Amino acid sequence: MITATAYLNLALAVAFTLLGVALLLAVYRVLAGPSLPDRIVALDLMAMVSAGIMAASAVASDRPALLDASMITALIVFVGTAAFARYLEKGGR
Amino acid sequence: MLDYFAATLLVGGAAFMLLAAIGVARMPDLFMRMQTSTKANTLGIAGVLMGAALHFADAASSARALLIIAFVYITAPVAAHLIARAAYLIGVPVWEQTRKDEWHEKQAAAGDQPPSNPTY
Amino acid sequence: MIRIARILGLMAWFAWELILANFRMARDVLLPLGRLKPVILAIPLEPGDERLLALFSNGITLTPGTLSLDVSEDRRYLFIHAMNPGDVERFRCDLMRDFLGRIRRAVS
Repeated sequence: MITATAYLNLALAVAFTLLGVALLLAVYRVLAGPSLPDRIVALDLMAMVSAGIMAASAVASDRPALLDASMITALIVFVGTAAFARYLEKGGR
Repeated sequence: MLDYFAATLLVGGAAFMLLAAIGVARMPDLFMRMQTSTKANTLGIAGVLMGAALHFADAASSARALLIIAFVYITAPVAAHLIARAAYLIGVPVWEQTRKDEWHEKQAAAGDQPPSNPTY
Repeated sequence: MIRIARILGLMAWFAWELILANFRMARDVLLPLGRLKPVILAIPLEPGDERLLALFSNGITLTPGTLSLDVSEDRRYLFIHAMNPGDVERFRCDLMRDFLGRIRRAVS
């Protein structure tokens, strides 16, 4: 049985790796497209993954204030996506 | 004990976010990409945040975490709906393996101009 | 009181469906794509209740293999994208009876 701190550190390392790979895959989709909505979906995912990374950083650095950053990211991403959808319906590509 | 649980939740949430990203990178059309991204993504962020809340185990961060989770669960389907609808209407192609498209049929039957959604 | 219990019941059932949805999603994402047979379906709606419609369409997006796309202009159909429904008619039936029925019983 490993100690709680060691387990948490290991978990954080794994979580950061997974989130990092997720971010890279999302970047791939942003670059690859092929259509604008695809890129929007991927950007949305990127922002959510960043919010996840911020929450994990909050745990890693023991600073709960970073959860606020995570919260704001999750909030504004919705507004951005809604604006993009509006733009799409008005005929943007 | 709580810390083990928090760490496991963090990893689980991160794994689901990775799953969402794999889906977004791998799925053949927009609608399937959106399916993976909205579902796995919301559960992923919920897992990570619950892990963080358990780690700090105080009222302020738990309240924040719960607030974000609730907000994400309310907005994610709405955002997905907005994008999916707009995308379909501007004619984003549907995967060629899609067996049936009743939306297209219904619009054609109503005499509207159906959006031309070519398959890949 | 009974109403609150019902809504809580709906939420518990929904949380369970949500987790189930994600594991199914994991399977769909990781296995070869040839297994998937997506369809776009029209789900007939009963006219009237906007609240029901909102809950239903948002719930659909979060549960197994479905994504809501649009409501037809006459509000008679909800169009959804289903990832891997198997038999289409049975899938539609299940969705309407289980999901819509549950929500209707909980909110009405």
